[in-house]
Amino acid sequence: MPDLVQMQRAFAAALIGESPLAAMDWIENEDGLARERLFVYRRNALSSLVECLGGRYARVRSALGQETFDALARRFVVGHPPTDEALLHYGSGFATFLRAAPLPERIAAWLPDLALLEACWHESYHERDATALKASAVSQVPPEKLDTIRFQTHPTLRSLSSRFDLLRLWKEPLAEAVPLDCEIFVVRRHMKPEVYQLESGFAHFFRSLNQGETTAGAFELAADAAEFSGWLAKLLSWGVFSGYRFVEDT
Amino acid sequence: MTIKGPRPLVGLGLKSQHFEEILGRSPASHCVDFFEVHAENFMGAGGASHHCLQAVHERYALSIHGVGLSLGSACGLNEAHLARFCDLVDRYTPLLVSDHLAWCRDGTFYYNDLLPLPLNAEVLDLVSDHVHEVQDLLGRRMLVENPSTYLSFASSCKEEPDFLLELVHRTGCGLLLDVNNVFVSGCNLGFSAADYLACIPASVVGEVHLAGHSIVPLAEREAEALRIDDHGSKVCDEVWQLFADWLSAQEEISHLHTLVEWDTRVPEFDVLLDQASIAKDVIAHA
Repeated sequence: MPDLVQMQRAFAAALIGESPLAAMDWIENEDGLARERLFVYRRNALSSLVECLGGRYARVRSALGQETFDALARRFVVGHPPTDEALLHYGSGFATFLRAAPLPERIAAWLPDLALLEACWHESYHERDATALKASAVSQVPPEKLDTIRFQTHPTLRSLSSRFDLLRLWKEPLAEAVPLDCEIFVVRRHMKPEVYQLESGFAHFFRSLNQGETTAGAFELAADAAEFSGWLAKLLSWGVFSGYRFVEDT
Repeated sequence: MTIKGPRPLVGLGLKSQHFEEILGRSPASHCVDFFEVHAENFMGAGGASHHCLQAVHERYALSIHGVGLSLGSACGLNEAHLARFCDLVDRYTPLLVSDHLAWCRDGTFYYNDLLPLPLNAEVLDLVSDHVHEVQDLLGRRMLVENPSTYLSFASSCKEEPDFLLELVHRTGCGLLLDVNNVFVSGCNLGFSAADYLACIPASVVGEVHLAGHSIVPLAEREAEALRIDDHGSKVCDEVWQLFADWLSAQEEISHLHTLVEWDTRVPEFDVLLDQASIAKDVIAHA
């Protein structure tokens, strides 16, 4: 087996690593074409993974342009080959990679956030199914216990904070970025995840419930009972929660 | 050729672009009997892909085709991945289960391609052990597909048909005979695809794959080219002819199911239906 171990190690280096000729010693070369034959595999491996990232980060690709995106994606692939045979979540570290990458100044400040949002969307898309908590279930809670609710977030919920109007960039990746402190989240009630963006008090309210705050604690962030009820009703209608417990139960 | 008992089925690779159209059509309105999916595309926990696959499963037979088991990895099978593969097979109870004579991972990374193996006794032992391991966990027979290859190894000492037939003999697995792969490899490595196919009896084959490929001129010798198995075009005339000739030479093909693959530059569903229809005609006239 040592021969096969060594051959596969060399072949792997030739595929994605910086030693494209590493496997030459193992390959038949009677026709002098071994190098070109080996490069078919290198091209296939790299291009299929770059294409995979391009599909996952289609908005980032639009913002960067195909050529720049492909060059960056190729660098990412070489530095971060997949470790999982199911490529459904391959490239989840691309946003972090972009934060350190040389990006055009026009988009450098917000592009990693847009990449993170695209990663969130894909995670949500493939996450396990669950029934969303309905407002009617909350309306049945006895009044004396309303303050003690702690919501369980829906498994498909993913969120991030940004200093830019990301929803606008999500819809139009070539639009001019507008500074805006916001909380943006993705959740899937049915087949496809939806993207929502919240600002100011509503964003703080969502963040506090998402972090496990009780309804009493979150109430402090609303101006009055009407605002609290309105915000909660919206979150419930979007399917942000899958259940709840009372504080004494947790 | 005689067809007894169950008839040979014809299938298509299931592409997400075609979900709506497939589910909107009655199975009786076209010639497709089954759909094949790449196992690794359905290893998410939930969501639209499983919802659609379940709906297709309720109307058609399924084939689950792995591209990640890495039967030829020197580092052994990835047990976690194999468990997911088995879960998928349990969930959808497919007509056929298959993967490739190839490797695609080392101890750490996955390379997203079906990489070639030296064909020798050492590798035959290794792949046989892995096929046994997969079949034991699945509790059923799997099919192993012949790869398309662009190079050969100095340490190879067996012909590919001999290697595959020995694998069948040792493990009880079946073969997934990809006629396009035989043609592509034959052109790239200089052997006769017809001679290769003549060595493979239909009795050991559970499924046939047909697909298109591209021709890429060599950078170093412009007059020569390599055939690239990219599944991005119609099945070529030579492959249809090889398929027809091979079928005609068989005594019994009622068990033999045939699939047309199309994975890149995916066209309208009707184009795939035309290819499936041609496959059905070839089988009927063999």
